[in-house]
Amino acid sequence: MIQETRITLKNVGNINPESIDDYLAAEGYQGLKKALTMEPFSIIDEVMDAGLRGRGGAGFSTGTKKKFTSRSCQSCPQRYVVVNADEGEPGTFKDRIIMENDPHLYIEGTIIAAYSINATKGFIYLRGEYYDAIRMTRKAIADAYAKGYLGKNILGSGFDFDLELKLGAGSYLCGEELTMLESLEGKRGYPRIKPPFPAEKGVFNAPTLVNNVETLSTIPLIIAKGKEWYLQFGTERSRGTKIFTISGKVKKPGFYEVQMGATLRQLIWDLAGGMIGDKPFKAALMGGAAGTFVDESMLDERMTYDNLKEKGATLGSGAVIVLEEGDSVYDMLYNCLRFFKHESCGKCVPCRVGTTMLVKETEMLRKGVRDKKTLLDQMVKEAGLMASSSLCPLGQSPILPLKSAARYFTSELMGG
Amino acid sequence: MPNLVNITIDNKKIQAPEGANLLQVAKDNGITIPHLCYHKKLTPTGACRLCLVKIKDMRGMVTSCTIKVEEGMEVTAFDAELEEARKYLLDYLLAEHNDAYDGSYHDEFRELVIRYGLEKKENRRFPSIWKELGYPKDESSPVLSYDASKCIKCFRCIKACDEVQGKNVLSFTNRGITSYITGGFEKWGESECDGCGECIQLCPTGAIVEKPHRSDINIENGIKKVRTTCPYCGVGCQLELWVKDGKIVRSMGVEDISPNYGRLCVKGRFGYDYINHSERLKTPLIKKDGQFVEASWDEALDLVARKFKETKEKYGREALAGYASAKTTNEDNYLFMKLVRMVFGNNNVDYCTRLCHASTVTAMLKAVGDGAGSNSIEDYANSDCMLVTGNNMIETHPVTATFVKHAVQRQGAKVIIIDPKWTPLVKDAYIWLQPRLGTDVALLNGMIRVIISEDLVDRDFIKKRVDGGMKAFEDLKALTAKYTPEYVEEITGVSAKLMIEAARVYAKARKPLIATGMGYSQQVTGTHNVFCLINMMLITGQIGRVGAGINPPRGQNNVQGVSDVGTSPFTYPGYIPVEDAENRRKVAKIWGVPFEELDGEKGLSTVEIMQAAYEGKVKAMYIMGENPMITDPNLNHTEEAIQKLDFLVVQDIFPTETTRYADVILPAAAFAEKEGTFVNSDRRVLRVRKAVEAPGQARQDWHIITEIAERMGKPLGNYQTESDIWNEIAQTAPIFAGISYDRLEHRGIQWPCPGKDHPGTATLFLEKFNTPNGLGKLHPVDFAEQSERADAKYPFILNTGRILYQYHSSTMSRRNKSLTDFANEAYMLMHPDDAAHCGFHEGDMVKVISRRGAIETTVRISEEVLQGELFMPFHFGEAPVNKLTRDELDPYSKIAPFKISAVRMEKL
Amino acid sequence: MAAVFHCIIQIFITFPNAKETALCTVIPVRFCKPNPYGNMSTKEILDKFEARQDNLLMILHALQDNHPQNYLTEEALSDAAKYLKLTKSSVYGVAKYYSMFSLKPRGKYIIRVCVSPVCELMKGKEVLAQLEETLGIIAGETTPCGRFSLEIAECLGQCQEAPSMMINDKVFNHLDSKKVNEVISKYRHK
Repeated sequence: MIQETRITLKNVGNINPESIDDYLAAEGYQGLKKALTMEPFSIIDEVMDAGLRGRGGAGFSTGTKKKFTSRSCQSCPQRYVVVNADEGEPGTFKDRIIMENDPHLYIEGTIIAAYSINATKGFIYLRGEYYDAIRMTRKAIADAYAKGYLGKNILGSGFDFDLELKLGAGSYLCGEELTMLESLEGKRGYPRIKPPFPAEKGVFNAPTLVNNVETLSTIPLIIAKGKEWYLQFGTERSRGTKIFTISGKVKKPGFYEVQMGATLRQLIWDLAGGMIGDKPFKAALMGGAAGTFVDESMLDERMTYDNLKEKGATLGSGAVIVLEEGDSVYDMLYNCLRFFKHESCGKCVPCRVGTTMLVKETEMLRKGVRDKKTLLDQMVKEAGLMASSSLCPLGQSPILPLKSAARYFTSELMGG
Repeated sequence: MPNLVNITIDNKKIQAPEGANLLQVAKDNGITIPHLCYHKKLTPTGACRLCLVKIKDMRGMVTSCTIKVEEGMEVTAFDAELEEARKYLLDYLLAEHNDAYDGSYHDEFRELVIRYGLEKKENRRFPSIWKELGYPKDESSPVLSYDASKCIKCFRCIKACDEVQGKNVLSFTNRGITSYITGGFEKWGESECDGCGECIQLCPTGAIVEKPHRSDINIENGIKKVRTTCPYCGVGCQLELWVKDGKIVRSMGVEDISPNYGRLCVKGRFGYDYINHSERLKTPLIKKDGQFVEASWDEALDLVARKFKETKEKYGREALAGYASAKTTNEDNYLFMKLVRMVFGNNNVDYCTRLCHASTVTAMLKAVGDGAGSNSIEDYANSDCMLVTGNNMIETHPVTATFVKHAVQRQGAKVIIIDPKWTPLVKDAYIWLQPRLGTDVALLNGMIRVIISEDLVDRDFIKKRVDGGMKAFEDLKALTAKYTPEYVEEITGVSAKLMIEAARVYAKARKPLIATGMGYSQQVTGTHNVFCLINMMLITGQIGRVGAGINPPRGQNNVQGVSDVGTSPFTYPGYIPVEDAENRRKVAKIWGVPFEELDGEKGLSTVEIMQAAYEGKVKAMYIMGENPMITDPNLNHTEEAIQKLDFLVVQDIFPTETTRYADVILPAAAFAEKEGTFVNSDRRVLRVRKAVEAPGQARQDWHIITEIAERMGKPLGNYQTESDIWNEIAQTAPIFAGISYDRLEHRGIQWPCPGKDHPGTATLFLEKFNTPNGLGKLHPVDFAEQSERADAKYPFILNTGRILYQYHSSTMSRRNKSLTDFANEAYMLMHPDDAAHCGFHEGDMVKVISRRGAIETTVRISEEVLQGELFMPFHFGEAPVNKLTRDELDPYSKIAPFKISAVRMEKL
Repeated sequence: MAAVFHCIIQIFITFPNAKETALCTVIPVRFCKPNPYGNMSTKEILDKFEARQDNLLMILHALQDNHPQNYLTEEALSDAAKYLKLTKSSVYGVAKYYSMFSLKPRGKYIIRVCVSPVCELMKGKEVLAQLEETLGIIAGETTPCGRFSLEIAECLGQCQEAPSMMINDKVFNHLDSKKVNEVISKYRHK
């Protein structure tokens, strides 16, 4: 039996999210206080040495990202921190849980991150449909200003930082960091060409650090308690904890923070109470729509960034959607592909037309096409081509659920 | 120069500048990687993905359009996998594409489809779905149509509008596969689109196409393409005219070549239909008993020659005068000038420059020794500060404005506008100073005082390059001392704070350019205004290096050239004063006439000629391609003067308000029917080439001129071609000495170009000014109240000017449906508060009355003008605003004050 | 009062031949929904924001929320464009990109039904079907009286309690046909 290790979620359910005093009583803003006594570069080193990797889905080293941002364009008059709070990956709601229940935590993390790269302005780009998270964040920002954690000369340190809340308006793709920057600037959500990375040219062409809510929420603790404390959690290459959001056919769907390296079996049976009605497990979709299907053969694999990648699966955002015997993988796959078509911005050809064609072809799998095997192979090939030729991660995503579904559930997809 | 690096593409060794665009490098080296969304004028988009390549040590496939070349890069541009990917991508595009093709445009996509064997439907992988996507067509623009089903969503039009033209009118609507281009709210015709057609030029398919003449064009069949120079403003855009069956059917910008690099405005792209207009003059006409009667050329020319000769014999040589034309070529004007000096025997030759930039030129000649722009058009794009004075550049010199916008958008240049009226450039401006009409001298003296008191002056420059050095500077300092910010604010109404900031920005800039227009020149104090600009420029040392200086964009295609070739009462070719006996001697020799026959006294200028006609001193006139009955100030007076002439010859391409008064009308060839040269605003000599034949019996202007001279008994010379005339111009004008038609074949050359091997001169005054002692001269001048002011009887001050879609007296522009569809009505702008006070509403008909005349027009209510001020465009013959203007002249330059007339209004 | 009057007129203009259904018990004054901006003029809303392009999305949210029919009028888009010194299409293109913005009049209550994989797995399709039946409209439409608009939404992040929907800013979870009808009937009389 594994247990949850609540680090990031330690205050959830224990404090009143609308009360900054509650947060302070729970050792809130201690990380910031300590950080302001440190040299900015040593904060970056601390985060780097703690091995923190981005929790948005890609798993890039947070310290390295900061280092790039703090070092690029020394002559630039302004650098920015942007909080990616545009959670939209199907099956994922970890950031919402933090924002609704402990908003000061990620704001504190944002201020520390800003201090470490010498940014004096930050934006939170928050999903437009997350009304409760918006309310909580708005209140928390106002309270943080009132108490001197934001604004001019924070806690007498001489460090100035302004934080502005910006709302998304219904676009999955704007959760992609470069697209988010376009959207932040008041434009259509089209992905930018990489390079330059945000660290060089981000919002308003200035060096910009873009971090996910969960990532930023981890930073105050690493600073307050030190990297050694953090290094005790997780595995060698995937440090710390990860919040998983489990949904679908389990008894206790919800959010669970566990140390990196837990297995899917532990997640489902130890934490989420097992399958509803104790029906047999059929599949899980890991990481949301831009994730992979697994069958029971993967139940005992350790869920770390690298191990799952090696096995052709993804950790992604930490979403786990559980299917029981009798549920349709085809329907799930079709849903994911339709989702990509709906969310494709249309900028690049393979994604714009490819997502449409995949939806059509998936429909054909159910419309009595004679050679379904060829069609399915063809679809995987197309998705592969999309992955290698698309401009941004969206066009590179359909291959993930498609190929994994085709691998584990070939006959079902072919209508067998 | 950037470092050269060595790379290989498909094992071919290539050297390229470090950081250059890989796709472009491949292209320049003969390796055409397929692409659609990339265009070298635009930033890379990465949308079509066709230019995928593999690069050693990089993962997977990358788009070559987004890669910068680095030393040692090993690129694979073609292999089976890449080609398969490209074919897939084309297949994807075909699925959402309507591939019907009518042959009227160049289709880059179709070429690729053929190259990859996908022309036949059975070879395609995906079903065609474009019909189910519900793509619309937008036909609402007067000049172009957009068909979303032919659009490949490459962003080229959006970027053409945004990055090239700086207009940003287009966007996508919807998202994903249902997205397509929109102007405005999906109604192009109601958007901010001004019809420049850059999007058409860069569209790789037939999604955005011109409306006019589409059915006439099949690009593979019977289209002749002729490169020439645009006949509208003084930018000198290089056009490619498409000719089908002797008719112009399309106009495109010529890419890669200065001054326009492919860009055009709506007039350049759509303003050619007048050439083929049914109202063109086709035969000589002689007025008999008040009626014009068709005549043979012999009859008409004999009559003209005889009348001119008789007049000269009867009243003396001073009784003859000529108006030359900024619309015609250097060669035409040179011979016109030669006719006046050599055959008429006086210097009474002038043209419309007297109505536009004469004051600017006068001030510049006195202060820096040259009347032409000191810099190249490209310098605008590299400037960090542009002071735009009385210059509605976006409407009057749209392509120059694109360079300005590039500077603003790409490098944050600061534009300072001084203009009493709002102009579209205000949107891009850092500061807009809005002085009351006629208070510019006070404003500039105020700025000079700020510069002096904050010690932003360049003492070194003053000592080395200003006549009188610090002593002269002290005089200026003393004169401007009283122009405190408060005093200036009181006179001009401009906030002291803004004025001070503007002065600082200008003085501190690294590469500031002044672009001064009609708002400054067309005043009684026109010369003074420009003196002040130059004073400010000289004490800050903001001239005499690349990117710094003063530039008066010329209003007409060849205003610059006509002055350059000596069509002026004051100067011979190359700006050599009439009084310069040595030069006259030289010219007399070239012309083969006795030196004594060349009059050594200045002649009469444009408005003076009319006044002399009014007074009965000038008896006969020869007008080539001008329309003074619209463009001269105080038209009622002009009309009386013209009626007093014994004999008037008007040579033109259309009947005009002026031809009505002619005794003989001579039909001439238009620009597209001619060989020759124009000189643009940055002193660039550009070739004009013949695309179509002149209609009917219309003749080349220069042929007509030589015929008249010959019939008057003094042949001008033996010219076979326009090139012969040019060679004589180059002999008489040292600034052109090194220029010949051969050298102009590919690109223009900027004068001065003293020798055959001289590359031409991009920037003037690098070493010294062109004044006799080589030094710049300060001309401190005081503010003086305008002689005509608003009073109880005439409470408003009327300003006049131009609009984008019409041109000059609109003889040409109003004969193009494309242009009149955009704007074809006279109007008067009035401030909302004034309108409310007077009880006027939008669209009301009013009578506008000045001390000199009255006209009728409609009211438009707009905050573009200040309270108490009005604005009217002058193009429209039915509301000729110059009936209201004055012919009281600037004493130095003889320019008339078109910008300031006191008027009152009566509701009709 | 003026705003209310305006609102009612608008509804009649939008639905000239609308037949009252059982859903619309009244054409009430409170058709004009309360909103954080309290039915301000466009200018008043714009003045709350600095005239920077990066405020465009916030401005569009505010303008839409302010409109009693939850949508962006061409007039509002034009005013926003003018205020931000943008062209019409730059504003229009943005409004058309983001799925939360509507350029068509919508109901007082916007029902967003989640159609994510999780909700589908948890019988979310039945929820949508029930809503369509109860409201008498299909997704993408507005009830004739202008009370409800039914829209489909991508994952609302409520997966632990799927299937889910939102009505304006309120979330409803663990839905089934019965619960859907209960909720709608509350809103019908609200």
